[in-house]
Amino acid sequence: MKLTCNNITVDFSGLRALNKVSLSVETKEILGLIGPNGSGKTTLLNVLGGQLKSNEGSVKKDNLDITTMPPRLRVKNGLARSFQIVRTFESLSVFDNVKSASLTTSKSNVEKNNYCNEIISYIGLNKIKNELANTLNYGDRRRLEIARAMATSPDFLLLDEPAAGMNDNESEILLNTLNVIPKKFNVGILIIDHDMSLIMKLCHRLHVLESGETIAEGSIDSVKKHPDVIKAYLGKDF
Amino acid sequence: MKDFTNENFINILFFFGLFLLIYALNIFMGTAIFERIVTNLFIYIILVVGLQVFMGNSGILSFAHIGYMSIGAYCSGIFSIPVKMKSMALPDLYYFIQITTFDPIICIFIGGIFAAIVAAVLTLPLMRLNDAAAVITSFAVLMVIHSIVVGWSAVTNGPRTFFGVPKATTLELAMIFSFAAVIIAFLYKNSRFGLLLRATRDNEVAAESIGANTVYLRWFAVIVSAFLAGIAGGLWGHFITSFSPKSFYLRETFLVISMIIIGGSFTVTGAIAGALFVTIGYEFLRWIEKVIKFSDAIKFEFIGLTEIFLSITMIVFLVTKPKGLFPFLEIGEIIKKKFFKKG
Repeated sequence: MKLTCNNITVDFSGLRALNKVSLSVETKEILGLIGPNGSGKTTLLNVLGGQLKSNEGSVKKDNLDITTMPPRLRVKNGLARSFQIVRTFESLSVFDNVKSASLTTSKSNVEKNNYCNEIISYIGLNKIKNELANTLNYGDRRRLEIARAMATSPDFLLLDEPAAGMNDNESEILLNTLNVIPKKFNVGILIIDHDMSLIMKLCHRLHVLESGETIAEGSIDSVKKHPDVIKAYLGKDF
Repeated sequence: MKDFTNENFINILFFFGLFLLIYALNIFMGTAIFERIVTNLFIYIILVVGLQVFMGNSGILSFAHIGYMSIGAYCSGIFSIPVKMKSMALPDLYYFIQITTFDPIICIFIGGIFAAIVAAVLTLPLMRLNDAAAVITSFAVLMVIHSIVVGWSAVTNGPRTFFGVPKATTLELAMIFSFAAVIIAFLYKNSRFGLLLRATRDNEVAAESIGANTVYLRWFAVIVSAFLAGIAGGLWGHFITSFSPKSFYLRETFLVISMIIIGGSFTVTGAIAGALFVTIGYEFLRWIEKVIKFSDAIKFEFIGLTEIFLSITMIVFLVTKPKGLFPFLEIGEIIKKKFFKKG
């Protein structure tokens, strides 16, 4: 399966946040979306997730046009996401957070419970699964968001800075978790993050934005050496 | 939390026990006044638990609840007044209602269903609203219902007293309905509708991103909530037997809201605890008022202590415990955590 967007343009009252951006992700693939602050990464993710309508361009999953589809229907078509600012369900337990996301899938109740438990232990939240989400620390909340997104049985997972605020140890664990997801669950991942060592180790391909425009895309090595990317974002160290 | 049913079971069992205890206490006391208080308490529990179904799960304060109660009370009354009595109590009533009478129990259900239908029709477009806009429109719904009840003289006898409703509500009946309402509230809370609605309460954007349809989830909850309010209204009508539109307005609205705020709107346990707390406080203060009055300790007239007490308690709770006595955990979860820590 393939998630594509074509010529996405978004204007925020005169400011062009995205200008004719096109990209595609396939299942079992991890695509990294990088670029400096304000380059339009989250805006693009919001267009893909349906939280924001683009002024121009289209979003497609295989041959299905989902450009005008609201978020709740995109989930049913296999698009799940996490948020840059954590949006867990604070007064629900960890298990209920994950369980709520599985409710709109077509599994039977027993299957849903088993699947939720599987994901919770896979993401490593098993010990705290009966705690309320508002008692969790920041790193656990970020992981809970990923678990919740996974519980919708997605084909594509859109992650907005999942490693933000995590220490090296935590982001190492996150790396190992995310690394296995595409093959194990047959999912394509689009990930935004500023942790370059995580991105370089994790992603199969990269897409670089600057001021709402694509400046480079392709394999990690080609992007790393791209003069515009070095100038705009990475610097000479990478 | 291995399975949901288990947790519901502990909660329901607890309240079954509590209700029986209250019932036993009533037999032990054996006075008509006490029986009256307890019957009222059970009716209020249905009301508050019904309010919890919508307000607790959606997180939106609703002022319209007592309006649905009035629909239940009037509807149930109109259909149950004996035919002979009807021509006297409601001379202008439409012919087809004039000639029909049902058993009060059936009428209570008719009242509940009618309240649910009215809620369904009125509120669907309002379910998109959040925060202040949602609260204000719910208040407007209360005023609309109140105005209709006052104005529709042919059916409600207008602002005058509506009388002739047969007495049918006993303590036992109120208790059974109350227990059923508690079961409904717990089942609803832990159903898929309840869980998804609670997700929208905590974060609407994230809930939509996992497939929740906020508008319909809220709408279902309002319908269930109004049904329970209508049932409570019917029971109350058949208990008090004569009432007027002002029995269902601001004073009662704030009483119910103070109950749910003191107890905690997120939990069914909180709703019931609030009803208990406020009822006990109310009766205690009324007793004090009476003692002061008859002892002639104060020379001037001394009324309104209960209202002042209720307002102050509500303020104290909002400042110190804004989520109420039972903020997140139901009694079943608390018991489980304390006594079955390993299991």
